Amino acid sequence: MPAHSALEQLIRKVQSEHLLNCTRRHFLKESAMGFGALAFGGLFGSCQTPEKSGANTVFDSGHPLAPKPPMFPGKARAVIYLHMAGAPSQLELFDYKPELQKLDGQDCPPSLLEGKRFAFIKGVPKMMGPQATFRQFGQSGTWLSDYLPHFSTIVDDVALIKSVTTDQFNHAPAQLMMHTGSARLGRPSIGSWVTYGLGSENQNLPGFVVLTSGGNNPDAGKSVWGSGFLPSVYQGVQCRSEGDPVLFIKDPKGIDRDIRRASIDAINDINQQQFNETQDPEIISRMAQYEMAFKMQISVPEVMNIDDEPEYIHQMYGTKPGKACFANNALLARKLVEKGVRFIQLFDWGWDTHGDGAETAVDIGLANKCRQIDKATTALILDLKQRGLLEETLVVWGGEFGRTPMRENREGKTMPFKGRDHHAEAFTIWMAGGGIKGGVSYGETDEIGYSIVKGKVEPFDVQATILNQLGFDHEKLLYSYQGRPFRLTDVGGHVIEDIIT
Amino acid sequence: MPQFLAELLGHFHPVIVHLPIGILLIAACFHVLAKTNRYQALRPAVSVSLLLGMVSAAVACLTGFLLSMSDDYDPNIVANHQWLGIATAIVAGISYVSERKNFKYLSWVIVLLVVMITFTGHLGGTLTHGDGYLTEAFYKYSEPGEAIKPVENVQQAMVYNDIIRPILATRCYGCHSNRKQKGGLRLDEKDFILKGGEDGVAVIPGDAEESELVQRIFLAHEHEDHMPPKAKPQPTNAQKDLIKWWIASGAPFDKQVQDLTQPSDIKNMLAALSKTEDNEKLPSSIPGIPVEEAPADVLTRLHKHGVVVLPVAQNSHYLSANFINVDVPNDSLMLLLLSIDNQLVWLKTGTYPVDAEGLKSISQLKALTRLQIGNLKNSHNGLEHLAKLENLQYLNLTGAEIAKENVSALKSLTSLRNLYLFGCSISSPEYSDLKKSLPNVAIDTGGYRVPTFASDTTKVTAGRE
Repeated sequence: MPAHSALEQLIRKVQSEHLLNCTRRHFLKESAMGFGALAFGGLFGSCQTPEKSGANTVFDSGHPLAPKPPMFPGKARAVIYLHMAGAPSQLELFDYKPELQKLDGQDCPPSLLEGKRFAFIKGVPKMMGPQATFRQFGQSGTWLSDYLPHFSTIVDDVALIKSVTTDQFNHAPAQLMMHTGSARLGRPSIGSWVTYGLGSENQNLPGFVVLTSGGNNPDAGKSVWGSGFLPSVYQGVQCRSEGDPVLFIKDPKGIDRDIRRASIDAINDINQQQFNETQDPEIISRMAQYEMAFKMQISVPEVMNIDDEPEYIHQMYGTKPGKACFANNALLARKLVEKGVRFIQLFDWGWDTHGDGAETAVDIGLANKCRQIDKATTALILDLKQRGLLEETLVVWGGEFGRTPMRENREGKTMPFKGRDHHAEAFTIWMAGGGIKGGVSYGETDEIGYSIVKGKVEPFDVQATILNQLGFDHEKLLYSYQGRPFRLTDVGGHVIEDIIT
Repeated sequence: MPQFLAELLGHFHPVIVHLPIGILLIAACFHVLAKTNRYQALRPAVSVSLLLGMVSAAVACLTGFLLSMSDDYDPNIVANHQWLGIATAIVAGISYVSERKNFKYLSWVIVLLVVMITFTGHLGGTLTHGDGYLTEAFYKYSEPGEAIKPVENVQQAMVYNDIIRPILATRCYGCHSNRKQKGGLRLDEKDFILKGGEDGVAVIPGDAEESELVQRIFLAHEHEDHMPPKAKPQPTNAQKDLIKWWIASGAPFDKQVQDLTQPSDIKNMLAALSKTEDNEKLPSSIPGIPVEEAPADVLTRLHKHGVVVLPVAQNSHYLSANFINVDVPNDSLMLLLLSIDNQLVWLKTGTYPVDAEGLKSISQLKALTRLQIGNLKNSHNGLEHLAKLENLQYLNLTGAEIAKENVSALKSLTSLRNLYLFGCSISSPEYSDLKKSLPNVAIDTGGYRVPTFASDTTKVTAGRE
């Protein structure tokens, strides 16, 4: 028998010790744990991949912007969302409260202040009645203030929702809530979800266009039209009505369109190789955006040019060609709808009427803001109507929260001008076209406009309704991210059935 | 026995009862299998299973008895289930004894046992889930959802019978009627409604605010006491308001609508009841009957020319076509469309020039319901072809200059719902003429004016007093 070296013996000893530690007992124990783990996983269905679980991930990495059909036939083909950033006062525009008038100047009762947080109100503020005169208009007898004389002629085409509520009382989180379904950054906006679901019929224009006015971007910044975790090809494209229609699209001096075409082809070839190796959807997104930018060099200046519209149209909207203003944007929105753009977002800044100056007083600044947008908004609705587009275009108008029935008293002092603080509990938005009933009013607030007594609507419900009119079940338009399917309406949202035909 | 213990044990009945069902059925299986050569070794198992089955059946009867005392089920069905259950336990005992004594007709006894288990079990299921639970699936998906029938002459209708009762029937009877009485409450007859249930009176005639029924239906949807329960069909806001109004008016069972005071919003809701819920909806622009898929090669060729052709929805073969990306006029395009004439329901030609030939082709797209044409420059005398489109609901000709001689052709489009003629240079007398010929069509020639007020160009500088 050959002599075993000390090393071999040692190794053999280790091996047999190891074997001693692997008994049938150990095997049974471990496999029991294993079966248990499988069952546990099966309980939650977490073993399913998005495709198997039926999550409707419609992303086609080859052609992210290719037009796609909706889940069911929707009445609306496009959406125009007019967001008044800063939050317009519903008490001076839509929600008529004669009871509040009676309490004008009185101290605010403690029951309305207990346990609530306000942005600027401190101590005991005074109640402030509506600063506008309300009358009834149209066949529907809708109450409306005299701040919106043009709008009063189209009340019968519009559905007012007076009972919208949110849980955010500051601008950026509230705007993100309205448009992305979460008060925190990182989620895609409604327009991104819509282009993700529907693509774009016009291959030469982006499917989601953003136009801003009022002098500033909204507080939430560009994230409010961002694509979040969706491929970035679905982000909103900000177009301007002054100067270059889209920043950074123009070729630099010395490069002409052919050279640009050749360089994009070369860049995309390399990108394609990269994609073949890594399968990163962002690469496809970037390739699509290069292509789109190239097409946009021609198509966007064409569509953004309002000079060749007839004079009568300019009169109707009250446009100011060459300058940046809401009226120009409203006209552009109509033109973009005609060109097949799916989601057009207009942001107008300057509605934050705290009353710290004349421009933010509810009886001065707010009235002026209304004058800036009233004619153009009305013109937009009527222009869409006469072109037979209102029945297939959903128009939404609103802010991110409402304003308090109390007069703002910053730092507990009486302010020189009349203003109202942020009020998340109740505010008004309206919708028109795209299968929405006209001349109706949904929801009610209490006699002073503080809380909602009937028909509570959350931002998720607004989003669900928008998706519904476009032909999507908001619970089924999903995208898988961080290991779970996400949807625009997160875990909530009911379609507001009462206002759809 | 203290009440809570009785109820606690009683609630275990649905759990425990599955034991005798399983054990006795497998005893029957063993009995049959033991007769074969291969499984004769199972013979001793039969008596053991029957014994265990008998014992567990007895326990099931006990817990079932406790359950019947503490919960709210239909007394008739409970009685049948109870006696049948007890009889089944007894027959299980008989089976056991027969097996031990090698009774000649043991197989028949076991057959009887299985039959009794089936009937008893079915009654148990009916108690829990209601009548017709097993065959529910046959009906649920073929009939339209529960809609309330329209009321002919609403002011003369009986408030309870014609208006309130249908609402209660479609939203409440599922759990609060002769089949089931959740919370001890029945809402299917006057006496029961006024009597109330376990938690007291549900309806206080004359006081809607204090009536529990009203309070619960107006609770927030997510509130745990909200009625009907979250997953069940909900009454509309109008229906809730009508119930509240009826109770506030004294919950009369024998009055007509016109006998009660009606605030204006109630009046509107009542008026709306005289139309069906569907009346308000416009006819769908997509036919209800399915159609076969369009040939794929036609779609590919259309795509090549830049025409966007898409199904109108993911589960539909009906198509919509849009010429928005078509740069170059191409005569073959209209002909290609004809190959999908069964499927094409929506067509938008945008600013693509449509000539007389094109109009002729379009008029053969018999399934079209929505049509938009923006450029008729080269068409002479082609418009009357469009009258052939019997299903056309929406015709949008805005921006298409219609030659004078073609305007009268529009008069033949009598089955339209909406006709848009903005920018078509239709004169006033032509418009009046059209309106007369097309009385059921909503014609919009546009040209809306939004006048410039002084306020549009001036600014407010001081507040009001």
